Formats: sequence, structure tokens, C-alpha cells
Amino acid sequence: MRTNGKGKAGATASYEKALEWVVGGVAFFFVVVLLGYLFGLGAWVDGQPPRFAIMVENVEQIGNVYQMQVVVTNEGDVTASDVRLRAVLHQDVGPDEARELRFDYLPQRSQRRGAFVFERDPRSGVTVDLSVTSYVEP
Amino acid sequence: MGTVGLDRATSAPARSKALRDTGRALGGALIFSLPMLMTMEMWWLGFAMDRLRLALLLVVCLPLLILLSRRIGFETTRAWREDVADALFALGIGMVTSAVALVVFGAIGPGMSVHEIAGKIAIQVAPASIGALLARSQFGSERRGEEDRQESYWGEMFLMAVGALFLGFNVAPTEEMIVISYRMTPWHAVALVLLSLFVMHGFIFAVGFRGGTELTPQTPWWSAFVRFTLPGYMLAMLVSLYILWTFGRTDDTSLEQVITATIVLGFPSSAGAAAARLIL
Repeated sequence: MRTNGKGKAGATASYEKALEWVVGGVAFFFVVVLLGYLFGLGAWVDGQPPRFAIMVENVEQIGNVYQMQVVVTNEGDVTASDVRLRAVLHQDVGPDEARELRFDYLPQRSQRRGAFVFERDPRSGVTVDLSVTSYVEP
Repeated sequence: MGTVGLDRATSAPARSKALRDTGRALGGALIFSLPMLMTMEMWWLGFAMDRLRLALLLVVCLPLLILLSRRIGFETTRAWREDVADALFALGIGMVTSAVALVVFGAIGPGMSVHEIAGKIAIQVAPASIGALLARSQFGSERRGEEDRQESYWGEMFLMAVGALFLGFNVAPTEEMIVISYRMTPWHAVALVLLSLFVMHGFIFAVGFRGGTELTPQTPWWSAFVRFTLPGYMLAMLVSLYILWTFGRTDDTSLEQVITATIVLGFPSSAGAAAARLIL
């Protein structure tokens, strides 16, 4: 393995040496691709502020409450932190149910999951308004 | 280590050597894992992280310890089963150290589920057992001679991976790691890649001459850069990505964000890889 070893080195040593250069070549390619990707991002991504898309994944009855799972996607180019979601369940009779949810971080073009817990079934005869009320830059 | 000889030799010197080895291993495990034992994100990860990934971490840990034991063992002509025994011993010491420390810190206690307790201990085992195994090379009086410390190219790469894993593991659980990546622009990332390579090459060049690598002052810098620094950096990045994935930092996250977080963790990891000869 060691090229400066004495004796039987010969062919094996030069083969090992060649292999080292192959490994080095692969690593060189890896770093070039990595830097190329970053330069591409830096040059073409224009740093759009966070934009949020909220999707209801499912509603599940657990005991006598209803959990509404939501997925929030940040479609912007910048990470948002302390992202606050608000859900208001409007009923024909009785008071509205307002719930809040907070994510520590929502990175750019990434998703986070969470759940609102309601006393009424959000699937039947009610409307639910979902919105992001605020966020801060990390 | 003398642990495998416990049942064979019961003489007083053998017993005292076994005791001393155990003491060293406990000390090593503690020193290497204290930063992580006292990090609350590690406790949270203990119950929150994916069980399969946690199990995989332990599975990966064992062959790593065996190989590490082979690399840094005192005797060059050791049998594999001794290395396996050493690795298992280190794993056990790692578990005991983590469990005792976490109980004393009140991080595990009554009212917690088995799931939580097992998770909190298991996640600490990897760094603690590496520490236990390294203890003898750090504290041991019977350091091997310079001649024995000569490494093959692949042995060097292996040590780099362990160094990266070790330092990466130290900082990866903290929230600061991802906060840094959230605040960075692509240009910051480019700068950090270049800085990592620069720091790494400095370490490799400086440390390489001292040990037994084939690097000599006559080796041109670009030769060492291509054969050692670049592969070492690639290894450190792969190890960083593995750690981030293990801790669930890559879930539901964009490729861009994963790459940036890997570059951020890659900085300490690559320094750990390059300085592995000094640490290990």
C-alpha cells in the first residue's frame, strides 16, 4: 500500500497510487459540482420572500376531539422563522373556534407538518379559514 | 485491552490492569461525550428521532469500533475476536456512562417511558463508545511508536471518517447548526466550502509530515490536495449528510437547504477529519 515501502512494492504500489488519484479525481468532480450548484443558485435565485401554501392533509377523530393535520410549504427563496398559523372554524350555530399553530422554522421550498385540535368536526357543515398570520426572518 | 483476559487470568496484576483499562475507558467515554450528554437537543432527539435510524446508528457503530480498535490497538498482531471484544466492551462502557450521567443530570428518571429512556441512552452510545475506545490511545502510557502509527491510504481515509463523525456528532444536534444554514446565502456557502478546504489542507499538510503518511515536505501541495484533502472533504460531507439524516434534519426539506446544512456541518466535520491523527 505504501509507495515508499521497500521490497515487494512494484506493481501493487503503482496500482494503489493510481487508485488514490482516481479517488482524488472523483472528489475533485464532487467539489466542482457542489461549487457549480452554489454558483448557479447564487446567480439565478433572486431571493423571493417567503410565500406559504397551506394544505389540509387529513382530519382524524381522536377521543372527543378532531385533529386536523396541515402541511405548510414555504415556496419562497428565504427561510421564515416563528411562523404562526391561524385556523378559524365557523359554525352556523354556536361560537367560532379559533386555533393557533407555530413553527420554529420553515426553510425555503420546504414543508412542515402540524395539527389543529377542534371540538367540532371540521369536515361537516362548517367552514375553516386557514392563514399564516406572521413570521420573522431567522 | 486486558478485558478479554479477565476469565483466563485472575492474578492480581491482571485484575489491576483490567480495572485500570475500565477506568480509562469510563474516563474516555465521559470526556468525549460530555458535550453531548449536556445538550438538551440530544435528549429531545432521544425520544423524537426515528427508531430505525437510531437502530441503524448503533449497527453502524459496531463495525466502526472494531475497525477503530484494529487501527489503534497496541499490538499489531491481534486477533479479530479481540477487536470484537474490545468494541463490545467500549459499547458497554458507553451505555453505562451515558445512563449514569443522564440519571444524575435528571434527564432520565421515573415517569418516563422505556421508549424515551432507551432512546436517550442509545443516541449517546455512539460518541461515548468511540471515546471509551480512544481512551487508551489518549491516556494510555503504552503509546505505539511512530513506526507503528504509519497508515495506509485507506487506513488514513478511515481515520478521517471517524474524525469527521466524531466532531460532526458533537455539533450536529444543536439548533444553531441549522439556524446558521438558514441564514446563509449561496455565496456564504461557497465561502464556507473554500474555507473548509483551506483549513483541512492546512491540518493535513502540517500533521501529515509528523506521522507516517507518505506526505513529505517534498510532496507538491496540489498532489496532497487532490489525494488527501479533496477525498477527505468528500468523506466529511458524506458523514455530515448521514448525521443530518439520522437526526431527521433532512426530512421534508428542500435539496438546497439540505446541501447548505451539510456544508455547515461539513466545516467542523472536515476539521475533525483532517485533525483525526491528532485526536485519535
